[in-house]
Amino acid sequence: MTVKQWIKVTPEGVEVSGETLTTTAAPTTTAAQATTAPTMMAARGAELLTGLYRRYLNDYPRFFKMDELSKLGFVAAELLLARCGEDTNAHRGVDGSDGLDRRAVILFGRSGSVTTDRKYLATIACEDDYYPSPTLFVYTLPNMVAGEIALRHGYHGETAFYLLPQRDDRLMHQVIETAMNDGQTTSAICGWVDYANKAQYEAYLELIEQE
Amino acid sequence: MEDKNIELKKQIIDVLNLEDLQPQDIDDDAPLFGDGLGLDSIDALELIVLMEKQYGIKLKDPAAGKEVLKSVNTMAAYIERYANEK
Repeated sequence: MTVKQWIKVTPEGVEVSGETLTTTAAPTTTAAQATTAPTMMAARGAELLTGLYRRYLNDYPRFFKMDELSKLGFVAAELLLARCGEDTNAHRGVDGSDGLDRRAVILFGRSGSVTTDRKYLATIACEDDYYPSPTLFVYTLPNMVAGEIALRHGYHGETAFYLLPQRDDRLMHQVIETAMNDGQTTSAICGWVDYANKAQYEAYLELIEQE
Repeated sequence: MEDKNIELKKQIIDVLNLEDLQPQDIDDDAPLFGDGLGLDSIDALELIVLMEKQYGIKLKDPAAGKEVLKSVNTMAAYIERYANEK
């Protein structure tokens, strides 16, 4: 397996294959963006992910429906793929001739979807105010983040999210290697995606390919 | 009706996390699903929850619900009619 590129996203900033990515706000183009621009400047913590989306992506409104874990994994994957020079599914076509449809998305984390789990629990906690939220409910499974990445790019390989008590690179590598040796997977976006709260999160993703 | 439509649009934007939109960006007669605002089935469920939570209206018939949730105007008209029938 070959690691093509990697990315690390934390509340402190973004690093792509050793290069620090700027996280200051891009020039605003809509009224909605202008009203929120000051909070995007030198964005950190909770504002960082939306700031990164607005600066570098800004073409996928579905982003705003995602929970924080999915936003973290999605933004990290998008920036990683952009560094690798890969376009979105909309641009590359879907006939599968490029083999990207056999790409897997294999992720690991500790906190899982706990942030969204708590929010969803709040919508059903009180008998007198019992209104389960469908948009929260769909994100009460951490593998949704793998699904969001695969959906955006038309990947039909394995999508998985493994919960670990702590980050274990050796174990993760074993799992990834097993997946890559299934005879079908050609490449994979894989790594650690963990969102505990708006001040504690980390995504470390690699794009790996068969040699 | 106009002020109520604005309030309804704000509620729709809020519950569906349509962060890039302001009320003035949503046309009163534009389809909410499909080509218009591009909402999906999960959004439809969320709007059904909105109708019950904010207005006490339970949409039990899927066929009728589809017509009610067609646009901001159809939603507002149904809310107005239900309030009048109370």
